[in-house]
Amino acid sequence: MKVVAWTEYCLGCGLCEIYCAAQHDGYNGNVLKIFKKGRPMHRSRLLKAEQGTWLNTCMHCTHAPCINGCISGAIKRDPNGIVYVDYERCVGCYSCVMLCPHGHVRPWSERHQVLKCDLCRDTGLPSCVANCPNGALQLVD
Amino acid sequence: MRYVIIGGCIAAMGAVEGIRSIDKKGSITILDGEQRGVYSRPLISYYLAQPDRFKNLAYRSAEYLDHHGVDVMKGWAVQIDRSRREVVLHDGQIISYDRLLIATGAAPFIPDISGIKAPWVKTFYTIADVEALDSILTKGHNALIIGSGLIGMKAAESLRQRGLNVSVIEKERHILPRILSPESANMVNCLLNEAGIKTQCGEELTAVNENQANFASGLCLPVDILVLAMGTKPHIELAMDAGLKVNQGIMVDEYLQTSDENIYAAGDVIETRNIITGTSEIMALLPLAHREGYLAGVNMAGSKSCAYEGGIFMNSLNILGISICSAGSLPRAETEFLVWQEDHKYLQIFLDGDFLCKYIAVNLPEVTGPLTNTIADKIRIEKRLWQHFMTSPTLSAFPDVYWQKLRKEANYDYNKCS
Amino acid sequence: MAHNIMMPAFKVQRDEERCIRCGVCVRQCANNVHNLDEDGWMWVQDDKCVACHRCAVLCPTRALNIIEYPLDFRGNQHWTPASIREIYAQAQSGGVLLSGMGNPRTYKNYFDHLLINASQVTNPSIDPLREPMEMTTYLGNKNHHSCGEKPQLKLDIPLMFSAMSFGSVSINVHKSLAVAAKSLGTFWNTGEGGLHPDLLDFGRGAIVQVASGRFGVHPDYLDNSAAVEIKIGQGAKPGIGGHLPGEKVSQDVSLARMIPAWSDAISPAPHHDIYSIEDLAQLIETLKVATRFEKPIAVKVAAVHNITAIASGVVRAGADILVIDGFRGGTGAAPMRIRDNVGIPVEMALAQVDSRLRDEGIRSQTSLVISGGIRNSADVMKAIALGADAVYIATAALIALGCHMCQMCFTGLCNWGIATTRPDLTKRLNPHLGSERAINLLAAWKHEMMEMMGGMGINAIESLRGNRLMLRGIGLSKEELGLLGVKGVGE
Repeated sequence: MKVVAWTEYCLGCGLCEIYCAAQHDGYNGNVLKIFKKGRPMHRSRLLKAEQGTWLNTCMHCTHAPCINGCISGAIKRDPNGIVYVDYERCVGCYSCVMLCPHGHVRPWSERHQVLKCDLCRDTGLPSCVANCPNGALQLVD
Repeated sequence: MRYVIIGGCIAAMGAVEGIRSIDKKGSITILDGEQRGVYSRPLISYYLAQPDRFKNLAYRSAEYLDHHGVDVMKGWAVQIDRSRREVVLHDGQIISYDRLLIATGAAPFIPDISGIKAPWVKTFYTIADVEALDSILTKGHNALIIGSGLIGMKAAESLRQRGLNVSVIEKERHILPRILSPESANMVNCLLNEAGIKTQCGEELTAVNENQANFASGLCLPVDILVLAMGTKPHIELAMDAGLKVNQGIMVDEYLQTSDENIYAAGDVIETRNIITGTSEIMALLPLAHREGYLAGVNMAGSKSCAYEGGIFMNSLNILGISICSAGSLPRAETEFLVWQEDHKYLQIFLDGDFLCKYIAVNLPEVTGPLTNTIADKIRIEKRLWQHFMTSPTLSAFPDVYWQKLRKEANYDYNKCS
Repeated sequence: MAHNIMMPAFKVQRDEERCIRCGVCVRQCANNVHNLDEDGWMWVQDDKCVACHRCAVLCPTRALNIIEYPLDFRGNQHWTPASIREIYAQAQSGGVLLSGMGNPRTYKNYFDHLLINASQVTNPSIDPLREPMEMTTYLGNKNHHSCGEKPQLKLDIPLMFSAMSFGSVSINVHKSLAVAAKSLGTFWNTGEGGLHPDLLDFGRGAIVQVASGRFGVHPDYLDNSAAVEIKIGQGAKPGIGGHLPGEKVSQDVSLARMIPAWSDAISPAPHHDIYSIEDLAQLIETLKVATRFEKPIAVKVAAVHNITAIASGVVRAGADILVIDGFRGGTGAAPMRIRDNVGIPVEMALAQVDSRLRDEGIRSQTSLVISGGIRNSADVMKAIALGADAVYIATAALIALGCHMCQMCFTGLCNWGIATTRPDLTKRLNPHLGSERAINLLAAWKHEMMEMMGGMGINAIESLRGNRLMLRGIGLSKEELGLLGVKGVGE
């Protein structure tokens, strides 16, 4: 499973990033609360290039370089194939950042750990997909 | 099929995954020379820095090994009997195999100089090393790190975090000589000094006396703890004794097979093809070890089907909040490069025609993933596009050629909605 | 230029407690109403707001609200705020007032004065969930006595998407409607701007228009169609032509219209080869020959004062389908005075034309399709009961695609990706979502219509056509009832 971004219909509105941040870190989708009280950290980034905008999502690769290159075994794959970070174990060496061909995994400098898409595996449909106003994001197998 | 793996580190884990991707039934035995279970070596510096927080150094959990039906045996192999397909352990036990993987890794290099056996001279390679260091370190003491490679730098960081006065001594002209360029080393040096790690380059250790270290230049430094981080040498004795083809490391073909068709080798112990320079060399890197182990596992379990094309040097390390990422090698000494610098961030990329061959990123990890992949996959990107990218190196500015290729390979078309 | 004395039409209210400075409104407003500077200060330019609601709808914290500008003029029933503001605007610009979409004024809406019948006891009602309900109808000349059978359009639902040209609306509107029409078993209309090459596969489901500008008309265009429609007039602006400003004529538009890019596309007021019914008959015949008599030819006229005589002439000229567009019909751009003051209600025109064609014995030679301001399934039912064979919708379809009726189509800055050709705005309408919404709308209407027909005890849409006994007028004068041909309530 992965979220696929269709550049053709991406508006660059940035709602994906906003809802992504709100879904994580225990804010359960409460946009107002995380932006007013918390520290919004979205997992996937909206990239803005000349040819358009798109959400740089995790492909949850079959042979994920981030899993294999992780020095602490913090990046794992769950039974549904979702690649996620175990924050108990992540030491922030950024090997995964260096290895991700999509440039998706990114540093969480504040905590010396990394951020990556977990497909909102605790809450169902990924927040970015659920809240994209133009159907530019789709969850595909 | 009976698989035996000598060594229990990263390559062994990769091999387990590789074997199990094909053969779900065969028995797998790991001969683990250390008494600590399977753990990840790079984590030892975190363990030393915060022993309470990072107690669990496992690369893969015990349940994971159980799940894959792996039998871990304590003990180290002393002999391989190729004709009988048997491994002899230190205690005389004999293990027979159908396929053997040598993943014995490497050991720290210890120079032959006087005083090197002193109790306050340590290496920094295993949990045992860390525990030995932990037992003798005292806050405020002077620690000297000989060698400013990855291991030396991580040792320096953890000792600094434990409150010691740390100096790193490098015999080459600048720190992290295999990773950094002189320009970037200069910047990292400043950042390290700010963070409280002193550095000194061009000094070669000649002798260790009572609480002081002597160097070739005549320099003499007081020291309470001396950590040797002068590189590693692969554990090739076992393979040599067995009569396998060995150079600096064990020689393997593109299927990770040694000169014996039933014996494979992977990880830090083998020589690997550097796909940038084309030369065969020891590339002791964790991601490569896993990949080699995996491919060796696949080839051991099935018909030799997965060729290993080689790897590139790549390293990411964080020292006291300074992130250094680098990948690739220089095909020749004088290679064209582009530099971008802003505040504490630095990026240097080396171009060989239209191909990226190396980069060095300091405090700029975000863009390194695509850069690494560009090097490893030898993606042709024109120089002018790199010049554009280097005006503000962000992912958004990364050459579109790269993204297009990635999308194509991801096996779907972004521009067609199903 | 002197200071503009016009105050804004709308006021954007931002709830500071809710605003998280995410910048979505800034990025989404093509009119640059919202601005966010590096210091985190928002600056709202109310003057530019057209109340399209794009920002409010996308705001993740619902921090935005848009209201009519609360600055009141001293109350005056004659000099209303709108009339004062229009004078300010013209005094400033010296130009014709432009507007988009249909006539918004408070003229009597006859649909709202008609009530639908239902069966009780004497003739049982029908449950459409349990019994078959025929919604299929055919459009075309049904007078088969001479020259054999005539080409017909088969509609699974008596609703079609009305003409909106590519250029006035985005390619994604065409894609949405073309897909929806195909899925619903009905037709969409290309409008006068030709067919985009991407949509060649949908040509057979399209009624292609031939208008006074003759944009994009070529043999393949006519061949690759379900029917051909000659556009004489449009309800929003009867008697005048069209003008697609050059900035909307992108490369794609220029290709589809066969005109130079970035040049104004002028549709003349008349067809320069039609100055009489006989000329029209000639064009109809030409098109029939060109399409080898395989496709019905429709003629679209605006509902104007002497519509009955015009209709009679058009039918006699050979139109297989007569389309009457009422004065509430929408448009991408029209002079406001014309949109608001020219034409007549389509309900009245329809009732009169249907009666006239029956009286003259030529009703079977043509199918009557009406358009202009159809808002819901009840309007459709009433139109069919008044005599229409089918109904065209356009504004309702655009609203389904996201249109918020801000009436600023002519600016080309449609924030919903509808009335624009700017690529970054066009992509805001994902045709996959658009077609789904259009299909949903019509499926819902179809369902409601079957319920209403069942209630009347009618099980085929064609049994309702012209069945004015199913209608009663309320709040209408004797004269209006007579013209509509319906009885008053209680009669």
